[in-house]
Amino acid sequence: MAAVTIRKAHKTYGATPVLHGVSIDIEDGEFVVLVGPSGCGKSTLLRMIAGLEHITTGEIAIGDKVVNTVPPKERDIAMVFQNYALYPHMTVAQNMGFALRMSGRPKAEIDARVRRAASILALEPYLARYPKQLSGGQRQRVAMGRAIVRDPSVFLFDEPLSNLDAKLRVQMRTEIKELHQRLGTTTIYVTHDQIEAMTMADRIVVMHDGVIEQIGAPLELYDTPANTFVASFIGSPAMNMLKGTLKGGDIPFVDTGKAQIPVPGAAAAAVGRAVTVGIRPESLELAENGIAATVVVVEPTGAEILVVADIGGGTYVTAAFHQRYALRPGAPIHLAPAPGQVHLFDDETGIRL
Amino acid sequence: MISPFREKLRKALLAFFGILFFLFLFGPFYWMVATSMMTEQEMLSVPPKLFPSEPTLQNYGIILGIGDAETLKEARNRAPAVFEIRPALINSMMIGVLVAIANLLIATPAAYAFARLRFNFSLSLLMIYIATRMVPPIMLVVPMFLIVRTVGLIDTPLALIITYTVFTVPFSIWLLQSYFRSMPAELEDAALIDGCSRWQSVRHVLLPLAVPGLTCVAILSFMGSWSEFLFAVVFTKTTASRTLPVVAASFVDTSSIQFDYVMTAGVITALPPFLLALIFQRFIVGGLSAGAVKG
Repeated sequence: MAAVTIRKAHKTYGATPVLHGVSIDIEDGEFVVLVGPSGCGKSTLLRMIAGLEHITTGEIAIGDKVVNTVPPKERDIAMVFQNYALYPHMTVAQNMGFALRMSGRPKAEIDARVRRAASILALEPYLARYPKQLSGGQRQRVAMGRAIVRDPSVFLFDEPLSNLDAKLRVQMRTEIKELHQRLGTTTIYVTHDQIEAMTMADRIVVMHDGVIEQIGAPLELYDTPANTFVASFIGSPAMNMLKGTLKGGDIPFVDTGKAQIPVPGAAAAAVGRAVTVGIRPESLELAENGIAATVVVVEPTGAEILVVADIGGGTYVTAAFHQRYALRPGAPIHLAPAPGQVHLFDDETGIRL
Repeated sequence: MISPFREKLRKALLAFFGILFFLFLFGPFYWMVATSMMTEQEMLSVPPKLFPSEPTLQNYGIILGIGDAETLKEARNRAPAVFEIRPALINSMMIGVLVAIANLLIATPAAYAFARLRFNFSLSLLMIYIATRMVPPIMLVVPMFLIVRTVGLIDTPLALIITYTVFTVPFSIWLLQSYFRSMPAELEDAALIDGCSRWQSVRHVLLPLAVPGLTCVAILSFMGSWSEFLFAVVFTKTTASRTLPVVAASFVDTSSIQFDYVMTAGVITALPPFLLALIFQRFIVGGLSAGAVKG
């Protein structure tokens, strides 16, 4: 077990910069998820931690040891790849025991440790099989088994659930989290799926275009996104974003041209500024004195109803209701944000006000 | 909608041309095998026979030096060169195997470098390699002959081994590097993380999975040198280094042609590549890396 420290890590491929000075402190035993759209540099960062990519400038330390020039095999890490990367010519048992065999452990010890890992992951019946004889979920489990057999100080996961179907993904999500709770090993997990990030992480690192947009606990990111990128990336359906001007008064409000959205408690200093208002779909309520809108699409999910409504001029907002309102496309409604549930961002910089 | 008549006609035509094409391809081969199993009289009978009435392996026996003294003596009178086939077979086999081994030893590390390492001008270099294949061999015969003579390798198997290796390695590198590229690099990444050095990741993961590709390279380079004629006929003089195609061709001379021996030598020449392809085609085609990644 070990903490992982990343200090001002830069990465360039030739002349193309991929990471622009990333710093993260990951505590011992923590489950950290790197999340962001594809191309944001999250996988590159993970591969740098693994030692599969060079660090252009900056520093990565595992435990107390700076590992910039340490080869992967001496970093005491284990990694689970998106496509599993199981050795096709080895059985499940050989796959799981490969790292131990490479480090020259006695056969009896390898067998015992493989068996223990297999029992944790319910893989015992498959030990003699080859990867191609396994289902996707089983292969995924073998890949995890290969990682835990070694009892490394850090687990790295590179989008491990992307190739699984939706149901299995949810199930494996739980299994990985449970495994982490059981083993307590420092885990760095890369995904582009914000739900995976929200459900699994102790802390989430949101990345975009090679920089960190925000680091924080899942609900912290959800409740107080640092900027418009994080606000629209975290949460599904995405936060509604409306542009307007902040106006003063007894209760300050944002004038979007089509609607006036009250923002109680907005800083007086910001009055007059161009802003972006963010309202989460579940913060919108039906209210007589709300913004006039026309229902465009109604999407019942069972647990809630998603309503896409036009607030004028083709500007759509999404609202999520837990009550099963009987709404039809074309129906006029009035929507108002719940008090205190409005996020305000500077229109130019996107930074939270 | 196609009428039933037109559908039948279509099938009949397809079958007709299919059979025609089959005969075109297979006919000469059959003729060669059939003739090699006939006696001299039968072979020369008019009208020619399509099947040997009493198939005999006598010709094969003679070539390998097996048979009663009388038959062997007669064969010696007809064509003394018949007894050169056995040493030629050994030469061809040895040269082919060594060329295949040399290809594996040289092309594998080169192909790995092209497939996995980033270095300047790698693509240009590959292009140059493959461009050497565009040069007609006939252009190179004389200069190569001069080189081989200067270094004193005329009439040695080594001359052919080196020549064939030079000519087959570029293609082997090309083939192997594209094979390596098709293999998921994550497997080697996983091996590095599992505690392998780069060399170990190649030895334990890449090479075992590349066996079909390596086999393919070995067989192609073996076949390439096995059936090569031009350089063989120029560089060799005696049984010390003559290969099968050269000896087989020597049965055809100005005064007479011993068709039965030519055909028998032809079968012996054709057999190893045929068997190799037959045995290993499943191995070459069956991608061993199935199941490595999703799917």
